[in-house]
Amino acid sequence: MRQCQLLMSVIREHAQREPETIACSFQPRGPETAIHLTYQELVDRVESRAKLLVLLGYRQKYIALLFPTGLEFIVDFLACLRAGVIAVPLNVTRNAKQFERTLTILADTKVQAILTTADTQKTLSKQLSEVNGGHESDFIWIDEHYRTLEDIDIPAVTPELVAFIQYTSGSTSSPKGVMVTQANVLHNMQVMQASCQHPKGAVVGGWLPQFHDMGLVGHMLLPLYLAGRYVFMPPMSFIQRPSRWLKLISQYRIFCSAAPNFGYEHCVNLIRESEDLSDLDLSCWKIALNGSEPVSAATMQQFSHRFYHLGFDHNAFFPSYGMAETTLFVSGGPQGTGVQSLSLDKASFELGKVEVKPDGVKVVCCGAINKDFTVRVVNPQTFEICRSNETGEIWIAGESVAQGYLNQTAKTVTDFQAKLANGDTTPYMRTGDMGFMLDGQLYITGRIKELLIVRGRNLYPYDIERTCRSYRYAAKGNGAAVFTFTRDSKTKLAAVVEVSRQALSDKPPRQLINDLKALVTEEHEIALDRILVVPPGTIPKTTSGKVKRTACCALL
Amino acid sequence: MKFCRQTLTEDITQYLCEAIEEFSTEQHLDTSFSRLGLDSTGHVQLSAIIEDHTQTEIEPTIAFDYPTINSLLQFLEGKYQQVKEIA
Repeated sequence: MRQCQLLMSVIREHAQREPETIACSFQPRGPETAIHLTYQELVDRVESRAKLLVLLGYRQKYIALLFPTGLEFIVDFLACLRAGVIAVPLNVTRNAKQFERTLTILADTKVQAILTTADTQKTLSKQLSEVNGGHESDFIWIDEHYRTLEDIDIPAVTPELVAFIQYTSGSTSSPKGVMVTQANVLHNMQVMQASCQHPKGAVVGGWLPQFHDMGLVGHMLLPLYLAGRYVFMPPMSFIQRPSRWLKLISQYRIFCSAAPNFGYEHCVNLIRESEDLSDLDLSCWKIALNGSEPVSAATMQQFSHRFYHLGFDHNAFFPSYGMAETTLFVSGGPQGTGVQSLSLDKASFELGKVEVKPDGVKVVCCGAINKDFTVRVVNPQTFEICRSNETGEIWIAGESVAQGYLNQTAKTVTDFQAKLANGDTTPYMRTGDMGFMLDGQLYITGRIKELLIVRGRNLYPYDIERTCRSYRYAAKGNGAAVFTFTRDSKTKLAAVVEVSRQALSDKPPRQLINDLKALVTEEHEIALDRILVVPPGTIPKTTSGKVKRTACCALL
Repeated sequence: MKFCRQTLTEDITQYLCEAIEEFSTEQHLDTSFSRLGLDSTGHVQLSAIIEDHTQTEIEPTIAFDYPTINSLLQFLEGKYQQVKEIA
């Protein structure tokens, strides 16, 4: 397959060799609702859609894709790749904040046309006119009713062209559009196959959203590259009843299914013991990839404990590291190694040193770095390469690294074309993540932006937050924020902790504060300079429930 | 479709009592779920509870469209009446 330069040419070859093989299966609800496309059907639809896009003059122009989960999205996305139209996949949402983000992105790309379905268009036009004070939007909507009978040759597409723009889940106000080329896509397919050892014809899929990097590149494009099958369901069906994910895996004998840590946690928390899953067989699931969020060893353990009787093999866990900026995959595996973690000396770790020691700080391994990448651990201030026993920022070079952020030249230069202090002329992509390497394996310790430096020690807020949440009067949920603030030109450490209303009314606040102080001192050997105990729901959070630490300063 | 206002109210309040501290059936029948501090996953969980009760497919987003216990029950009751009339 290596000689092919484009993903779409690989897929068209599959269609020629095995036209009747099923390429995609979408199951919105129970097994009777499943719909499928063979390679021949898929490629025929993609060809006719690509011709339409060429005839309409969208080559090398941006076009937004706003689709509910389904087969239509696959066809239209691949048609963009085939025709050399720059796809901008976006989230169809009813949430007002998310919709605002979608509008920001549409403005950022100056998109004029939107690929969608007739049904979705109705809802979106209504949402848009509400935002615009009743005015109709100027977008050109291209739904399934647009057809062309004209037969043309689709002009060739070259590998260096931008294939799609992947917007990353940055803050609402400033989403960043990563420019991924045709060559990046194909390279990352090769990378994933090499690291995960997928067999040809592998069944891959699950519930991940199609508009987001892990669902798009990892679930949708990868099996099509492998002449395999992409099996999927709507993300919302998973959220509603997480056992549907496991049923899908068992039913379609899925080989590789990915989720962020949250997905595994959701299964542990919400699949009731009383639910009868005894006819499931998860032994087919050889790669349970966990990525895009920090991997929790505890969650993995709970998950395998709950589901091993259904044939789930804990060695199938596949913690990995990657991001839209590298198309997707950077490290993970090898297959069958499960969750590996290192125990490090806490005091050295907080000074930025890696020293293996039993019963210390546990860091989960993000797997072997794929050999096609050059990864450096770099001091984020001096740009010097760290010693092998030091933590630093992870810098990456390789053919999967994207071209930069759309319309953000300055940020593209700083983040995608960083140069080491040693004179090496290779441009590196700065990940913003801190970590280290050991024996070719990657370990991520946290985000640079979140690293707290207090009295000469490097601390990550989540470790201390976890301790606060373990306090017996702490409210349920994600209710603790730890951050630094400056008083008298000194950096001080503060915590805001949500405590149950019962405890707040029964106990003097002083007692709660002293308890928390003692707990943190005992666990982390650092004193909190300020603690605030507040009722549940006080801490500002993002729409996805993550604590907004900087906004917490205002509470002090 | 099955529907019994009393049992469904019990199922929903039982869930809310687990998910939200100090939830009170007397006070909160008309308070929106998000005001009570229920996150979006919790909203979707309500749809699963209703599905279990009614034995029919329920939109995962139903609790966003009918964001209080009373409005949810009223909607479902109306739907139930319709289904009965058609049958």
